[in-house]
Amino acid sequence: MRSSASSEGTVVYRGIKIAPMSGKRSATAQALRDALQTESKRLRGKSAHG
Amino acid sequence: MRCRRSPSDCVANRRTARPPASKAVFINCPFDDGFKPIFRAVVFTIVSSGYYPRCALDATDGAEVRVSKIAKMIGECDWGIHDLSRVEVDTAGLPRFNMPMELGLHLGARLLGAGRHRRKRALILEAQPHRYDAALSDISGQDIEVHANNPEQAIRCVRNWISENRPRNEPPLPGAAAMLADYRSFQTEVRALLASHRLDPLDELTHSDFLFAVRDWIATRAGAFP
Repeated sequence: MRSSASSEGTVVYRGIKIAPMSGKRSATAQALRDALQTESKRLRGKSAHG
Repeated sequence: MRCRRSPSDCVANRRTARPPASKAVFINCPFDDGFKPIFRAVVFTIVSSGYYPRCALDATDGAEVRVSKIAKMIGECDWGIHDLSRVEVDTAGLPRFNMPMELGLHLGARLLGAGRHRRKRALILEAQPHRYDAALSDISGQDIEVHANNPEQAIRCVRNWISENRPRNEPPLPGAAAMLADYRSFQTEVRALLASHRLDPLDELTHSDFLFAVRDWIATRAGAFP
């Protein structure tokens, strides 16, 4: 299931609202977030181009 | 109410705000490496179910007396998971009493507290059926489930307990099989990304980093990244 919320807001996954985590991201957490975002874009680009 | 502070302050406050008690789950368990697979499976299940895991690892103020910190956190959570599977005699011949004591705080708040504390829910996890009978028979009648030291079984126990106790007007949780599949995918995908970016391995992430990893992986799956 897709969500219209941004990744830092509440997202809906499998029908369940998942709220953002509280606190500050470490450099590691931020790097992983960036990597997930890049991978997500790559996979979506791949599927869009067949 | 309108916020009079700068927008950035408002964002900071929102991001550091404590979760609502009705959605907060206190986890009382060992934090050693041996127990980490079960602990992290439980954390993943709680986040995937739309709840907030809270535990002693959240606290950063080492100067505060531990029991008051724990009691405050239990007070802030309507839900509690208490794993008694490691309450066993150590090499010095003494059992670890911390977990039963924290369970006692939770049950005491429910029995003696007022208002929402009376609605507190507790899940007690064990490794073997009826082991508690010999050591802590007073807890008979509580929600007690057995994970058999298996993280996947722990996911089923926690998911089913939340599902049975959450308000009836809320949407149904994904099934246990879907959550197990998600947890396996999360581990595979995040492990690979961490390795390819030369970051700490998944098993060595701090608790805070692990929480963000779960949440960001779910956001990716939800298509929330632009």
